[in-house]
Amino acid sequence: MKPAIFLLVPIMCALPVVAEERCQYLEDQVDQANKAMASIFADGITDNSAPRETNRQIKELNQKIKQQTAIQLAIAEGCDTSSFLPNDMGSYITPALECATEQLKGNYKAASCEMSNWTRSEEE
Amino acid sequence: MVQLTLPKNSTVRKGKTWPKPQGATNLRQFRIYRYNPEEGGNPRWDTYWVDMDKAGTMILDVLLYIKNNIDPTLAFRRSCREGVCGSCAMNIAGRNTIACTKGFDDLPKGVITISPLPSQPVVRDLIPDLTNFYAQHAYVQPYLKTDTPAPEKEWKQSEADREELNGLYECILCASCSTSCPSYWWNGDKYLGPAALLQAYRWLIDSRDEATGERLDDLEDPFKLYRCHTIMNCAQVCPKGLNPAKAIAKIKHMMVERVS
Ligand code: SF4
Ligand code: FES
Repeated sequence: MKPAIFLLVPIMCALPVVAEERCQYLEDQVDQANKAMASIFADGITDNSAPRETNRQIKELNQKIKQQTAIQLAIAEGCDTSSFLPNDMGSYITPALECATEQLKGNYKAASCEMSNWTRSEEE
Repeated sequence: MVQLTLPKNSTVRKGKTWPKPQGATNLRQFRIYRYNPEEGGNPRWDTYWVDMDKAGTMILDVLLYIKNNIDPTLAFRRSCREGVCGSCAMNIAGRNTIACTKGFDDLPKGVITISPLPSQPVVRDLIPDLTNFYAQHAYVQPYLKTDTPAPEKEWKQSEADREELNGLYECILCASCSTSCPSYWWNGDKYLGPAALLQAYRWLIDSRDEATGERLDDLEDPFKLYRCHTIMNCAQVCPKGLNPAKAIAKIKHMMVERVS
């Protein structure tokens, strides 16, 4: 395995585009985790039973760990992480609630549940 | 194949069946765990018939009825008789709870078994040895820790900050949760268990406390906190309706957030 890594490192250095893509990918991972956390939060609006609430805490925790891992990898890749926004589910609460409301109506494939279309709500 | 040998005196044998009270029409059968280390031998299940018209309404009333009218040697702990002191926790009909607030109406039909809290050494009959449980509670330092000099009158807290303590401060340390947790059964010497961790979170989240980092450091190892696998027995059994598993998840959040 060692020679392969030995070869990979200079290739990565020689291909800045790939490195940028990696950084973008990792930043997207952090953002997706924010969306997932907003969705987990919105799912809990109507059910606060102990097992479900605890389960949501654990799911949210897993997303935070995912963000932490992505940031650590980004730092290891030499990415500029200043634009990464971990722990920012608040920006996606509005679309998450819209989706949860549709799902409560039984509309499980609502367009508002397509996370890739969710946009960040700007701070007032 | 692994050969396991059960510890000495671990098999519960059939015990004595006490006579039915004379003239009673509303009888109920209770099977109660009896063990007296001074007598040696194995623990046993003694059978008692209780006149439910005379015994009161709670399981603690039944135990007192038995002690006062049938068998004065039966040993159990109790103090407040109103769900405040946590002394009377035991396993009733297969579920940990406190005897003084457990009414008959909540119980299944048929014979009711009553045994000490599981997984702890037994001092006698329904009295578990909670030395380890209390040591774990002490380990989380359940008191305010501050560096700033104490104010003249009191440490103040906003209403919102005080609200954070709801669902945590009400714990009566009955040990029902910890002793219902399979992870605690297995690693009770190293895993702090739901009750101690609920208290750990109660102080971690207290806006007046100034030892958050130190408190988190004290929980940072593979066992003390991370043996919780969200099995949720703790929340199921807590007689005060608390949710230690959620408090534990919140501590794990704090652990992640302080690294980020
Ligand atoms: S959390 Fe509930 S079950 Fe656990 S010790 Fe406290 S009161 Fe008892
Ligand atoms: S006797 Fe105090 S809680 Fe039951």
